[in-house]
Amino acid sequence: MTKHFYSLKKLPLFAAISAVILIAGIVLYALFGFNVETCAGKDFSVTYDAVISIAEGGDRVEEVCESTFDSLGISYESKTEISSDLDNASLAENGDYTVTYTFAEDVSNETLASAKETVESTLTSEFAGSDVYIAVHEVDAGARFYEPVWRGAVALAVAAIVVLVYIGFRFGWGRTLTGLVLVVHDVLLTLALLAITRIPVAPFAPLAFAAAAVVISLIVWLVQCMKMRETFKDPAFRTMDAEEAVSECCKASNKTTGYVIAALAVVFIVLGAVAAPGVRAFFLPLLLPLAVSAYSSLVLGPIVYLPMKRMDDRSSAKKARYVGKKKAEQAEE
Amino acid sequence: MGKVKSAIVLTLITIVIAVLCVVCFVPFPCDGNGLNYFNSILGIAEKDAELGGYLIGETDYVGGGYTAVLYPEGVISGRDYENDLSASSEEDQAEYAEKYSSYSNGAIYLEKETVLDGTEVSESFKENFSHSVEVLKERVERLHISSASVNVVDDYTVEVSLPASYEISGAAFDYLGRMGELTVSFGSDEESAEVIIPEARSGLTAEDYFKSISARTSAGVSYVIFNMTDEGRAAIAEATDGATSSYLYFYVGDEPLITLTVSEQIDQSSLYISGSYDKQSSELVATILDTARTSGSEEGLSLSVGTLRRDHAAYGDSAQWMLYIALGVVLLASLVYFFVRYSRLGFAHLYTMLVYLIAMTLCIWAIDFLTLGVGSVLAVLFGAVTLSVSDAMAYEYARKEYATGKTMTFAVKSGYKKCFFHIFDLHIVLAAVGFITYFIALTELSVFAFTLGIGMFFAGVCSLAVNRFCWYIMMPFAKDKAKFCRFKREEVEEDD
Repeated sequence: MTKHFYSLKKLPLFAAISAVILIAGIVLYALFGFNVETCAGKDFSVTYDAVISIAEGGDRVEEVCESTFDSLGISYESKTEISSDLDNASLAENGDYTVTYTFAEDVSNETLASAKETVESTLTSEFAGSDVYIAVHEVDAGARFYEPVWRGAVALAVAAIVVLVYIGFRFGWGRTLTGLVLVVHDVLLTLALLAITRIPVAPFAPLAFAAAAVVISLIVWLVQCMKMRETFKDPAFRTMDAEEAVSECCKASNKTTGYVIAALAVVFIVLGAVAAPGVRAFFLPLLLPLAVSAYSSLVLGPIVYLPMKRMDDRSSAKKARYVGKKKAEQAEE
Repeated sequence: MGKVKSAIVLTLITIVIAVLCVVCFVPFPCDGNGLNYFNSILGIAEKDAELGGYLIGETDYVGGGYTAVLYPEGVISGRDYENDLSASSEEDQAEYAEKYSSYSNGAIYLEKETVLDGTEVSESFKENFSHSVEVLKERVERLHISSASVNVVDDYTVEVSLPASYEISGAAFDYLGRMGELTVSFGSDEESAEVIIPEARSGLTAEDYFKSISARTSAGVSYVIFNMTDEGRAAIAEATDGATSSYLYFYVGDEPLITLTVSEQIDQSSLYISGSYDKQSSELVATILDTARTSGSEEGLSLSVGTLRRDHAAYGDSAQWMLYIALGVVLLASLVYFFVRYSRLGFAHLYTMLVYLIAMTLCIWAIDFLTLGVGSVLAVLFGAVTLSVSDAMAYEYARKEYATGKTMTFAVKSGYKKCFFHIFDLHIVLAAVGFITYFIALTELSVFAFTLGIGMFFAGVCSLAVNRFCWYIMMPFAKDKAKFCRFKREEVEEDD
């Protein structure tokens, strides 16, 4: 008997792999949560007036700040470029400029106070007559607006259901059911891997990655469905059992699915590599849901689909044998 | 199609595409001195503030937005304290310093009489401040402003950021901080006006008079709409009975937000006020009034704007160009693949891709709520990838058909027939995801979703119609049609 890669006997193995990743992810999430980057921290903001800016001392302000931080052995997490202060009523520039460095919460107030003194004295001695003001602010985690998030989640859930129903009508309900299993599997596995890999993300990014997992998973499964439908039309497949048919079919469909996954991977990598840091932080982690979708549609999907294929085949065979009551009675007569 | 006809059609199409490409993507000076400049459609399309390309006035682009620090009464910034102290006379300095207590390492100063209870911040101040912050967050959330943020800084100040694309940021900072009860007064002037809502000693609140306060824009006119309860309707009808030239004042706390001229009795369940509102300002005023209706109280602690600064784009000033470069690299990679694999048939794909990009650029420019941002560029790119995959699929099917021995014309026809539903399914599913998500989601996601929806529509049309048509008119020029597409016949082993 020929052994096929896509066999129901392998289902427990792949289910176990997913379960292990899922359990590890749940445990790590329960212990540490996702590696979410909040806005909380300490802002070291230096405000200076036209005396310094006219002397083109903006760069010097940053140099002084950064060398002071180095000498104190502290490093900032982010820097807000020099921005102009505005008049409250007219929004016109009032001549003052501010540069802000954000530090982690664990940097001590004493160290920042010392940095403040050093920077202040250096700048006032270098730029006579200038007005330099330095403040250290404690910033709480920003407010989270939940409405766009839950509406986005509902939107994608509705869209996913519509797509699965469409797959049902076009390719059969067995593939819809498989698609549903894969979408749920991919979302959970993506979140688990996000918890395991500790990739630093923005507060609502885990939901964005879950949404990406839904979309990628649906696209890749749709491609599999299209290829399967086309291949199963071949009369040669009618005599094969489910395992053999799916294994033979996947030899061709996996290639197409692979191309689609490779195209998406190229897009994410190029965008991640070329685009600005904020954009990069979103695109490179998108490889995670893509990898999960690749695994589920190339490996898990066809195996999950096997029982549905058997049921479909049995139902098709029954339909083929059924000749109708009237015809049967006529034949008896 | 004959060679001559093909040449004419191809030339015309090439000219149209070239002109549209220039109009859409290439800015250039119109005269030698550089005073007159032709700006491309891509250049004038509204950019997302986070990408650093929001247009202010006619020519100035600024990214990012504005950040204001709002201070409650009794709290001042360290800088204001130092400035006030140094501006005071020597004898007043000690008195001034005695009035305030330093907080958070001197970042802010708290007025002892208003804020402190002994040496600690009073519980009532903490409670009122926390309530004000909650109301402020609710207001910002209800306005659905993309990339707006609210942070509590130094425990007792609030930092609010709004994008440059929100055109009424200055007024918004002022309005967002207004706290207190919603009251309505009626009279001939502000000083003599009497409070009619809520009625004195009635024990009722604004919620008992108004069901909701919302905003609506239709046919270019924006309204603030007061939906009144029976009590509200009766109170206003009774007050305005016989009025000829009086005013209704809608207050939040001590500040009037709307002044409505009344020349006759108002007796209706819904009150529409248009004034000089636009969409953003009507939504802002309605949100402030409605949150004051539901959450306002006499103890509301108003927050006033202290410092205000302009922020740089969140993704950096060069993010827009970096994104264009990324888009260019992906498109170039796609073209290289097509030219290498399908030889001169790559031109058909190139024309198709250009038509798709021109259509998308025109849509983003023409459709009001679409802006050029990370979401929309991503959606355009996603459409371009789908278009490339569809074109490749069509070419591969045609290649297979040709390999079996069919003529080129029949192979193309048969190939497209076989892959039509694959391409249709792919595009219809993604367009459905886009449009459904657009109707439910908010802010950036809805922009991405809508762009994805129209992107899929154009990608589908381009792949099934434009690409095939380009192939059809380019083919007659090739002496060897198989070589033109780099197609080969299947090699059949001959029997001896």
